[in-house]
Amino acid sequence: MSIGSNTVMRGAWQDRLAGGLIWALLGVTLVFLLLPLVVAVVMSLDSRPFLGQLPPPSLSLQWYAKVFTSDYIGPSFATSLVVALVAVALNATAGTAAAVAITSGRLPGSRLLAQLFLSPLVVPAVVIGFGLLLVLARLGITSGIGRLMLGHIVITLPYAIRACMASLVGQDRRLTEAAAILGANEWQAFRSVTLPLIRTGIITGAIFTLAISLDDVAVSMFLVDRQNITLPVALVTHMRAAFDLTIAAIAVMAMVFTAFVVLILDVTLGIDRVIGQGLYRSEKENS
Amino acid sequence: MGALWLILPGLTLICAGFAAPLALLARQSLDVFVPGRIGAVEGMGLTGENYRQLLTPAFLGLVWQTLWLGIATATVATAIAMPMAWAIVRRLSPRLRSLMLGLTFALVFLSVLVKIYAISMTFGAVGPFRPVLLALGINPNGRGYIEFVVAAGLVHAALPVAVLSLVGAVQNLDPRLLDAAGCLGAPRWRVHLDITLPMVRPALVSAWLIALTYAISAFVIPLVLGRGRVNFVSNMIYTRFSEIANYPSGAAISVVMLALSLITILLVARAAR
Amino acid sequence: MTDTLEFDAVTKQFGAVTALDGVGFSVKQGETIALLGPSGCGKTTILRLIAGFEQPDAGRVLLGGRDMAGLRPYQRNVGLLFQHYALFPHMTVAENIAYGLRYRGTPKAEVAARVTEMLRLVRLEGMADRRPDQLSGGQQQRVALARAMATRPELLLLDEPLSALDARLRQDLRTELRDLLAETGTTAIVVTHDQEEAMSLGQRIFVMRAGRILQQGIPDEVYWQPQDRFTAEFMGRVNWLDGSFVTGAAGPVFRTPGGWEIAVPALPSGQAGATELCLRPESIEMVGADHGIRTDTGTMRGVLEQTTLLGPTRILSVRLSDGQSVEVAMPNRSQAMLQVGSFVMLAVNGHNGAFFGA
Repeated sequence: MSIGSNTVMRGAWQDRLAGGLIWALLGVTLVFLLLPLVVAVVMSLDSRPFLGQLPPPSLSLQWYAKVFTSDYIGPSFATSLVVALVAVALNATAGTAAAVAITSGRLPGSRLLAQLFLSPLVVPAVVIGFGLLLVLARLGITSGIGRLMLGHIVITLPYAIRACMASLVGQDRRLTEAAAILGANEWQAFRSVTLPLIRTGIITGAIFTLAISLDDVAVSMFLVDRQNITLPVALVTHMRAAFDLTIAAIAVMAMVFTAFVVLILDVTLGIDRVIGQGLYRSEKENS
Repeated sequence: MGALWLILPGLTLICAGFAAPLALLARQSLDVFVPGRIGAVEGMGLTGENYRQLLTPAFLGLVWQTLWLGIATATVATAIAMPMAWAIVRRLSPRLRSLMLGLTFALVFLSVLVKIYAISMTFGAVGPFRPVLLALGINPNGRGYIEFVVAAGLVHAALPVAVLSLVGAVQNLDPRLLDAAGCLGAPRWRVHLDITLPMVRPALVSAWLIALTYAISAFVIPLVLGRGRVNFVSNMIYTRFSEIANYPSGAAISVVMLALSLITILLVARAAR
Repeated sequence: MTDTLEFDAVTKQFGAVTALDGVGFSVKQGETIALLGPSGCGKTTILRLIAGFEQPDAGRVLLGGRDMAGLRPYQRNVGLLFQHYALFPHMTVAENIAYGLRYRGTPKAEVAARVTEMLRLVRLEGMADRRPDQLSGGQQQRVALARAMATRPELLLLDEPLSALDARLRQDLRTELRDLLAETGTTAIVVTHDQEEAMSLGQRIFVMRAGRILQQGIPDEVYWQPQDRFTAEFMGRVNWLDGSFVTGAAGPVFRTPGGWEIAVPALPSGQAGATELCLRPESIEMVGADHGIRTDTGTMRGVLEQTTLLGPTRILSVRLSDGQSVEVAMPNRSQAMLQVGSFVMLAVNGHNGAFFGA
């Protein structure tokens, strides 16, 4: 389905040249995007106990075994998971409630409020993290997992609210009116009509929250303490300290997990819908 | 009434976790630095000293480094993303197309840490490029090469996002317009220059802006790939906290950095209009 | 017996716009009334006030004799058929119909029985498990109707019930809807901007404009005896004839400047200075080509200027010899033997005319 190819007469050789160059560029780009991932996979299977030249002489699963025996990966992953799940839960409730309130049209200054809720998107995460540290220190809160939870909620709430607002805005106001006139009170109407229809938005927000929270370093760096270290912070510390191929094994596990999640998303929601609701305007994260 | 109660929990979170920190940063950036203390010392008054101290070649160099690496990577990422989005939408078979979209989507969601780690291995001492580097006489520990690796990390992270946002714009483009131009006798490269690019310009600008703000506020990419040799402004904020515990100075740098990203966004938004 | 619905001097403002200006009317049990008017006339506001989506600024809305002030929509027993139906897209047809019963504590068995009954009533048996997006427009309309009626509301509101359908389907469903309302004895208010819909559905019509009810009455009355120009024009094609009312040899007549005389039932008593006669095109008949016969009362002559075919009827535009132009509606039975430009003779029935002042 080449567009207009039958009509091209003049400049045909320039077209062929430009086309060839562009395809070549795209090929190089694809290699650039995927080669590192392949390298990580190969290295994670290295049987040597040290960092050696590629390719490895033989393959083994020793690094994967070490993931499960390591003393820092398990606890920090647990911390990360708890923080991420708390953020998901709070975003799905407080975030959805805020999105409903903003789009209800019954709140003065709702445009300004929407901007306030989305503004953490344009502030570098490091600035948010450092600022939070100062506020919490002033309040005398210098440790505890609660600090991480607050930080992660602040950087993920805008994504959850935006995804939720996108699905609320597309909804016909008359549906809730129909529910009301049929006898459902506000809460019943929300439960039976609004909620099922914005489910995609809430799920999208939850996915973004999970992805950003599980990957955050910039905010967490300021808010971790000895007892509460998130997995990304622990990994960065180890990455800088010494090369340890356990991290390669974790990286491969993360890739498989991501591919799995994307596959599930595509089957259940359809990637197009998720893209449309959450991604267009900003980057995934600020770490 | 009801709406107020609904928004209250979220509003509290945003005020406590976002507005208050920014306000305190601004305030604390004017405090006098007393080693070993967090927060203002009573009766010391306000000072502009923390900002004045930033006017050193070292810090300005850092700002410059952040900006130019940011602009370079955003430009490269957008320039590659555009033909890529075009190819995905217009030139691939439906099957390949959804495969590529899924792949791009997965790359957006893949942990940045995983990407960084993979890149540091690939371009590092044992990576497949080592013979090439040696043959070309490039020092893998030289500053220039490290800058390149940091840039590679930024492009790797920003490119999939840019592709996805441009895919939408290309999809909205009416192919009949291009056919019309083609029928009028223009070669295809001219058609793209005259019609495609102007029509997707808003999307291009926004993709570029997203990549740029991403790059200049990047933290973990320069932290790991920069190997302590190439730093961004964000890394300096963390150093002020973790190494010398100079909070007022860290706050001043934070304010500068926030201003930097807001000004960038405003400038680009104005230029795009 | 109290009226099912009573509007008592209701006023509603939206900012600086007065949507309703002291509107008062009542609806008797079992009656269907039609609120007719152009968009922005306030008819939808009346509907929303009855439903409880809006509260009146002044005046009272009484349903079954009870003041509705402060009652939320779900505290009123009112059914509403939305203009674009507002069917719940994530529920099946049966779930949509059962929705209202869910929150009324109706026992399960009874809900099922009622859903079946409603499906039969709107002739959608076998569609219970479909989703709204699997239905045609007409089917969706009937599901919405069944949903609104399932709770046996005291009053059923229909907001432009047929406007989203194409012309052919609209006519079929109009009859069906009227029969259904009669069969179930439902008290209903139909809001519409289509005068045909209002006349065929409403036992009484309220013509509205700019937040006021201009005229109310049975369809024939509103059609033939409009009390103002707006109503006259809004209800259908109309001719305005200039002239004066005098007592002729055989009784009261309307005399045009050209000397044509039209017998009218009586001289306008209330409107002393009336100088205009309002005639529907059906009140004028084309008798044939003009052969120069002497003119009697009730005849006029003129030149045929244009003919427009509207399917069953044909509209003729005739320029009278005194310069006024009239439209004549004639059944489209025969090929009109008339050439544009030829002289024609018209017979006028003035007994259905309405008088207007200058």
